[in-house]
Amino acid sequence: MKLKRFACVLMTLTIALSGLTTGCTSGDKDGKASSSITIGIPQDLDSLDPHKAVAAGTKEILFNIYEGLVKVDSDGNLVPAVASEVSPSEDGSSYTFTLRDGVKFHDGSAVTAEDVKYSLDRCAASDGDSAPLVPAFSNIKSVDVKDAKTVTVNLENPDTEFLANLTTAIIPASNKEPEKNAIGTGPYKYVSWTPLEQVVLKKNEDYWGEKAYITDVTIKIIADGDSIVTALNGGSIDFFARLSADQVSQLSGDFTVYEGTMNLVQALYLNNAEKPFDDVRVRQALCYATDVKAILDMTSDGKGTPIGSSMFPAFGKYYTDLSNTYPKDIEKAKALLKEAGYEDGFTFTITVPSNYQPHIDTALVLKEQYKEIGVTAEIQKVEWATWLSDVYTGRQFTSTVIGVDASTLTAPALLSRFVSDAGNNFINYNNADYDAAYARAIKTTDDAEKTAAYKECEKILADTAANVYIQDMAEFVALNKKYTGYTFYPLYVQDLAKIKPADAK
Amino acid sequence: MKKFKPNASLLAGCILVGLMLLMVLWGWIATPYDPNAMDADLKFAGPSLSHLMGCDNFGRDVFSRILQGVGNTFIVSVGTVAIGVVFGILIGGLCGYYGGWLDEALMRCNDVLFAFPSVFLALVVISLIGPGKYQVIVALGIAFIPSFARMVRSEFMKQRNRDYCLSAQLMGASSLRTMFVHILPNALPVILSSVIIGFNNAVIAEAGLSYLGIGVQPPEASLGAMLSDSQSFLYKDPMLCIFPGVVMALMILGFALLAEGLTEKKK
Amino acid sequence: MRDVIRKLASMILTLLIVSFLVFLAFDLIPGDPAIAKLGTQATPEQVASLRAEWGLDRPFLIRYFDWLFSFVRGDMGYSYHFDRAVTELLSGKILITVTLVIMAFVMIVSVSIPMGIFAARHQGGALDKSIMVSNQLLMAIPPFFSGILITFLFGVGLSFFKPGSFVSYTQNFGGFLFYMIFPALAVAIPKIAMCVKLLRSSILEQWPMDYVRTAYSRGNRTMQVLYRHVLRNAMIPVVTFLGMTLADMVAGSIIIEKVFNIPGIGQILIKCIEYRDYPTVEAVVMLIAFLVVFVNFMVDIIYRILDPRMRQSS
Repeated sequence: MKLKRFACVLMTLTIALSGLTTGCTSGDKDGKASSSITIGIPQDLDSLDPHKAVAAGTKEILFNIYEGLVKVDSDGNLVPAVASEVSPSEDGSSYTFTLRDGVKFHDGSAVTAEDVKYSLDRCAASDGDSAPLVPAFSNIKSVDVKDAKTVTVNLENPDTEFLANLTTAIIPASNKEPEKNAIGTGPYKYVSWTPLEQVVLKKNEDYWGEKAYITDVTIKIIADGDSIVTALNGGSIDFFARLSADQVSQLSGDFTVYEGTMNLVQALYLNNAEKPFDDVRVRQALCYATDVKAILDMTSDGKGTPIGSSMFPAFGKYYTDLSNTYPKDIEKAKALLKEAGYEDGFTFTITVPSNYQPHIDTALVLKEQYKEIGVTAEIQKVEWATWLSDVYTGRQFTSTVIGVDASTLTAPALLSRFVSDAGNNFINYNNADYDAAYARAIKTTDDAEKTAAYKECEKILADTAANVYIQDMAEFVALNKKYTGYTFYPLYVQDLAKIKPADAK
Repeated sequence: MKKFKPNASLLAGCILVGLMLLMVLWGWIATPYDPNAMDADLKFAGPSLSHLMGCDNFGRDVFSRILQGVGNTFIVSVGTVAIGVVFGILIGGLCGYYGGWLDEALMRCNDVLFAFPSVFLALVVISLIGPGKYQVIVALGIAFIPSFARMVRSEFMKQRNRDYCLSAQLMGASSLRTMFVHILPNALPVILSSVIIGFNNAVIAEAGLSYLGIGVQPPEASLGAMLSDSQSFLYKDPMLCIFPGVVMALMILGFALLAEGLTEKKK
Repeated sequence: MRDVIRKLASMILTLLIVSFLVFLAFDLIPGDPAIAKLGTQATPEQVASLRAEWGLDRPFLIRYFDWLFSFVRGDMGYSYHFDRAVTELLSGKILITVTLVIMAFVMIVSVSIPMGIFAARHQGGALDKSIMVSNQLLMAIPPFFSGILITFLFGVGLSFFKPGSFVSYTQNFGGFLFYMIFPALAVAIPKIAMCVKLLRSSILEQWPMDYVRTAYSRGNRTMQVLYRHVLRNAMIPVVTFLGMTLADMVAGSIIIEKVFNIPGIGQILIKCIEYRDYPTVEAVVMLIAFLVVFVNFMVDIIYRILDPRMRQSS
């Protein structure tokens, strides 16, 4: 304790001193004494190659190293990054980018139009012998280099929302081993990665935009959820995102806790092709029997946003609050069950991945709630890999509790999966009205019409009780009081460049 | 050999095991509360007269869950050790007594089984036959055979050349009779002490599997699952961890003392 | 000599069978490495192309022999989950687990053998009784519970170490060793208790034997009888136990590594089973299997040295 205070004093002193010597001339937050932070993440990176990394936990760290032609800002808007200007064609069939002046890769070389073409072609797998690394890129017809500063992306089929996919990292064509040597253009440079131990980053002094505040970032992998609180309280990490309410309640006074949402749709996903959930009345009965508020009270001290369809509030204009479609009503639920021929209830299985405790907790509460209508839920914990192959890919399940997130901030990221023949329609949802509404939304270029059509989709999902929608879960972020400036993003992103020492102005 | 005057170990062991059996029975017949009933108002409630050990993160009565958990842990560990001991004695006995090619062949199988990390073995078995209480017994039981077999084999090898064994054979006792009537009782003290260790390991292994999420399925309680679940609340409510931990330790202690008492008495 | 060669041959056979069974197990259990790697955003085309890249679309036996031949040549393959060569991945981690196991093993041997002998010599005395009672208690504490208790007591309560602050030996060797003391202690405590108990009862079992009386009658003093004759026989079950403990600790490191957040091979094994990264799982299981088989082999040899009757009988 004493030592820590001493270190603090020392740090303040050095900062004050450096302020004295350089303060008059520079006067900005850069150029101060070096600073460092240790952050914790729950899962190891799955790759350093930004095009091959798939885990959300990896992408949110790589966000600091790599940038695309455009990137997401903290409001969820797409802003120019490596490109300084974007001009889409009228019908959305091509996008022309003007590269920003003075953007350099971490190895010091300047970003060229060739690098952009290389990166996009690589993800589109234009050599043709493998599947595109970014599925949406199968729509790219060609990437043309117009001149040293201009690149045009031509699409097969017009898509007005394609820009969201161009957050794909731009990497130097000269780097032959992107999986070993991460070179990007972001505010932090990659230094080292020791699997299961840590990743080390260093501030990119040549960054084109607002530079990072903290010089050295060590990212420690804390694989065991139970040791996170210990590691925070013990002082071995200064920052951890996505904590549960229970974890937050155990933190010592050294931390500032930020509260946000996880930006995902947590629901009891029902296999619509499987008995008894092929009957809309049974699905509705479960919805009526579910008390979302009680779930929140039980699992997260009441924190979290109840939702009623496959859309969460961060989507802004596309989001409508449908969480009151099925207020808790045991009598109605029983009546619906009776109508469907399940007067004496039934037994079904909830499959949950064993590595996501919040989903297991939710399933446990649901099990208790369904007892009230005579329905017995049996919980089956499975490994994540089994869940992926059997439930998600193989669709061999009755129901599962999971959170579905959005890869980009476009409505299709959440809604396209419920089209009857969608490859990732793992609940086997099949509704002609929905398909029609969705097709309308994709086709139109009129924003108001598009928004209305997406909202109709959401309404259909809610009315047909496609799933038992529960919540967008609360997310808590703990940051040691030595630092400040944490910023939430509506997507899976940790922007380390915005974190600064608390005593810096 | 000096004798312990009144066999203290046996007495203490009997009391502890008796208490445990009582808890198991109590848990089977009726628990004070429904072990799965949740109550948001009772989240992390401390021990009180109505809830002897307080309530957990779902407001469930910890004492009722411990009663259920002792039962489940008991079934799993006894089942596991039983499978391990029975097959261990069979395999180890045959190997140790006959030696030769049979020993070679069986011990090779045993080595293969032994060489698998038991967690890996259990994981594979569970993946194949599905999760659940009884599946855990099978998975752990298989993993436990090799160490028992090795122990029994070396004991049988030691015994088979002893005089009493040779004289039994001279008197015309069949091999099976020699093995199970003459050697086995003499090997029993060592086997018994490895049963204690085995029981200890079984309780721990069950907890370990719960830790990895493939043990008893929730919401059913087992001591291991309770212990690993409560670890997330160590700072907030250490009692949630202490109660199942202490009950688990007492359970292991009871069996250890009982077994020791029995061995002492024999001598 | 012939015996040793035969033993070695059977060791290799064991390892071969183990490697085959691991491969078979992965073919039988649900979960696909490519799907596990690509996650929820994957398209079937991506999965298919990754499966082709990893050669998973080939028949089972071909995959196995392909793996086996590479393995024999020293190429352990490529880790799907960690996106790097398995050899590179494991080389840094083995030392961590080995350090943990060796530290615990040293603790076990250096504490339990003197204590076991002491307890046996002073059998029935007050000290023996208190050793035996505390033994029973310590034996009854599962390692991860003692791990939690140690974290709570030494880490949170007394601040001897920062819980969860594992540092790699490449950065700070002293800090690494210091941190490892606590998990090693958690592993060692119940094993020490078991070992003391075993050695004590094993020595006491030898006392009434004829050869002890003979040794006494030849005018040997108690200490001589104990160290020259009794201990030799009494050590046989202890050696078996220690050998098994050694192998057990490597395989059992999984849980203690989780409690103390140590990135050793146990953690790797769990992660890689979870992600169906079987080149890595094969390598780790082979490593553990090799260790187990090797320890058994050594135990066998030590047996022969300790027990002259075994030498004759084989």
